[in-house]
Amino acid sequence: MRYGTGPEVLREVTFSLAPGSFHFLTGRSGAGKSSLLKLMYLAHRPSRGLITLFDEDIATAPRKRLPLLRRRVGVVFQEFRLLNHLSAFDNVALPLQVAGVRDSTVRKNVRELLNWTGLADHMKARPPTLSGGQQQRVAIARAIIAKPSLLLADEPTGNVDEAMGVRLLYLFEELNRMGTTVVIATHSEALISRFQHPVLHLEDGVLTTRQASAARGSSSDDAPSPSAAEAKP
Amino acid sequence: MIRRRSDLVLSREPSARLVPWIIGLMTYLACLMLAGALLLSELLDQWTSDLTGTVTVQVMPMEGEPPDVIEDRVDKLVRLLQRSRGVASARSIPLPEITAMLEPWLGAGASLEALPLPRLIDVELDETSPPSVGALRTMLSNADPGAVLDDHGIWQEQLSGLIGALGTVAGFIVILVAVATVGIVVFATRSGMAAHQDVIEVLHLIGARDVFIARQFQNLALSQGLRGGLIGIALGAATLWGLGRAAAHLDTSMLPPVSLLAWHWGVLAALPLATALIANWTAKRTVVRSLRKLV
Repeated sequence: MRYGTGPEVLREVTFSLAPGSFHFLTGRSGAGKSSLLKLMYLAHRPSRGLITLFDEDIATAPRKRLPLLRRRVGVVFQEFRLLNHLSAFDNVALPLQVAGVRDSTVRKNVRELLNWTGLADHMKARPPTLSGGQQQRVAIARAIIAKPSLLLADEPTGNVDEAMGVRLLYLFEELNRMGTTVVIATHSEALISRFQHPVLHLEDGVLTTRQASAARGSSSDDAPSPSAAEAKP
Repeated sequence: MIRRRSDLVLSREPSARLVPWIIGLMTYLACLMLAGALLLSELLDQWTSDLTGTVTVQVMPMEGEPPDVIEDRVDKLVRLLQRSRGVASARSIPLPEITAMLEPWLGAGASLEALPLPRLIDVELDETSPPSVGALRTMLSNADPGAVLDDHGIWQEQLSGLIGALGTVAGFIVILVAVATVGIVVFATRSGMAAHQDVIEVLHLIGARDVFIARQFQNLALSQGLRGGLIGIALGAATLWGLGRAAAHLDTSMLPPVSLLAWHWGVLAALPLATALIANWTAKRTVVRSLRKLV
């Protein structure tokens, strides 16, 4: 993948995510983690290679199919990307509203999730009035409200204290147990060693995979087919 | 508590407040142009219907002819016309009536006795079997070399041409105003999109279809178009009312009375709806075309 006529940001990237799997995505800043996530949440199409998402080749899928695929992917953006003119409640409700879910169901599900994430008292608050950690929880709630098949999170614990970070990881694991495939981009070795999930490591645009307990640097695909997401150069 | 699905993107921006006023100005111009075109069309219809089925015979006075002789010539021609096939009626227009017709141009106190005024015969043709105007003209000139038949054809043709041209200009201006309104909405929508690019991207990435995002802008454009249209039509109606009042004080003998009919007001009243629909459609097209550039 490349941006415009610039150099290739991602080159030797081959991996497959089994449905229901949980991976960490690591790498130095600028290694291409965000670019890989952008390909996976369909913000970009690959300039070459093949990406299959839910058995659909996203390089060739017609544009009108992409919104339906995107609705199956929950994203926690690095900068949260909350809509500042909407309340926390409305921000979390967005994916359901976009999908055309009935208002009564939206109300019920959003309240439930905001209670669960400890934001029950901040439903009407707008993001600028919330702390970084609260904003992050709103962003996470928005990503998971529609029960996505694939959850992508870019540094989701970057703005919260360690205890909250661990709590959020438990939330992701809970989702994972319910069948959601999870990929979390993080720099936190502490979280990686604590939660013991396979790691996708990016370095200079090249991806290697290591099992949770394995030594860093071994390269192997760890997922059987059919996959939630699959990328080949 | 839950926000409406059609009101997710746009926060209230101060710059958006100006758009209805600009659209209002455009609608105002369109309203005046349209009213002008409708009035001209009505005027033409009135003149044409007044003149259709009638011809006028002018009996020119001969040099040194005594007044009673021209009266005899006129009576003779009236009798001839009344006997002619295809003529429903013919009457000599009395001199005081002719004088009254000339009064707006010559003034009330003008002494007309000394002027060699032609005498006029008003002829109504039988519309079920009208005569040949050419044959009628030949018959009259044979009977009296000083009789000239005027079927108003040239005048009507020239007037129709002029009013047609004015109507075309008015229509062209209305089209220009519509195009300008489209331009304003395109500009406002693009500005709105640029200001809310981050919001649009988030909606796009969580699976919103283009039409869902476009609807957010459409609703705003619809509201701005409707408000602008109402402002414009209110100003236009006030202006037309003022012009009507001013025209009421004019000496109307020079112009036939003409005013906007009920259906004309209906057409003008539809302008706010038209501007709202144009704004709505333009916003949708603008947003959808812009969003196609995204993956």
